Amino acid sequence: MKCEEKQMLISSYIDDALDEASQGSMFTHLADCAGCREFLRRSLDVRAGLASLAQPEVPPSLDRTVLRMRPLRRGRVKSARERVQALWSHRLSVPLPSAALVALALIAVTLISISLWQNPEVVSVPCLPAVDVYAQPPAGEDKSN
Amino acid sequence: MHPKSDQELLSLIRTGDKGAFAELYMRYSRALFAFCSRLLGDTQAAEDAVHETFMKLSSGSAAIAEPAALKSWLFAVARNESLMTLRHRPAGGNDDAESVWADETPLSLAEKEDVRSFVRAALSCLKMEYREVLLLREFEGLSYGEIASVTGDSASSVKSRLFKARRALADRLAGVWNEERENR
Repeated sequence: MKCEEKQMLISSYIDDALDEASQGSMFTHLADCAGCREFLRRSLDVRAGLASLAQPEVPPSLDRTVLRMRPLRRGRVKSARERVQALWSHRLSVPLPSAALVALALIAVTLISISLWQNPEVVSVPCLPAVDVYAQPPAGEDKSN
Repeated sequence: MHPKSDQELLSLIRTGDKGAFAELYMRYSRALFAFCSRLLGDTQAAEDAVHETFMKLSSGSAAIAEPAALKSWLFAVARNESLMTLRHRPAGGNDDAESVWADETPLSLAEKEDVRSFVRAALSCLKMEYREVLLLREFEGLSYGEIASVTGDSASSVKSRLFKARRALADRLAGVWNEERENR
């Protein structure tokens, strides 16, 4: 337990966040404790190891999109043009499966529309027999009606 | 001519000064991108997070309560954007609250060749709450108080997490460094 407390001090010492009195206590302990000396050495190795990692480069696409932005004045209401500009530079993050599903649905709807356009279904309407309204009534019927 | 302070740049940004906005972007984009990239392990998601951060600055600079703490504000927004990305990812890894590791132990990644690869792998296997404090301290040089304002924790919690993260990495990578020393 005592070593854990001292190792916490060592961690703060590495961060340059340890006061003089605590530093004295830490160094006194380090003189007698090989385990904590080893912890200090390893912690410094961690720092060196992290420092050796290359810093990722900012992608040029990020420079382009951000440097096109125009900051809004404080208290000013956005103009319609600024709202449209903000809309164009806004990004929407969509999960890949959802995007693929929407794309597939669009393709399916397009294909069905094309096939219907090219082969319209022939609708046949049954025709009634033609009736000649001017024809003479059959013989024997009352003509007075 | 001395470079303008963050506070001066923010005052200009609030008047709609595009040059000041660009200067601030050039000052912090690299650090923010590196932070998000290492936090997420994904450069595309990191790009989106930094983009959203500067969108918020361009549209909401008036809402920044402490202009003197602009750097912390930028990192806090970038962190929140990164966490939102992570929420959409499938959960996994280690649920043990006492453990600092989120994923498989890095030394099992036997195909890694050099020390840097081991360090990178070990860093990416730390749980988010340990990784973020280590990144902000080691790469950005933020104080405990500044890290606390980014993560929304107390300074003592930051100090404790830094200690645990260092101890975990030191233990995990001890074999690698010992081997390297023997080879020298």
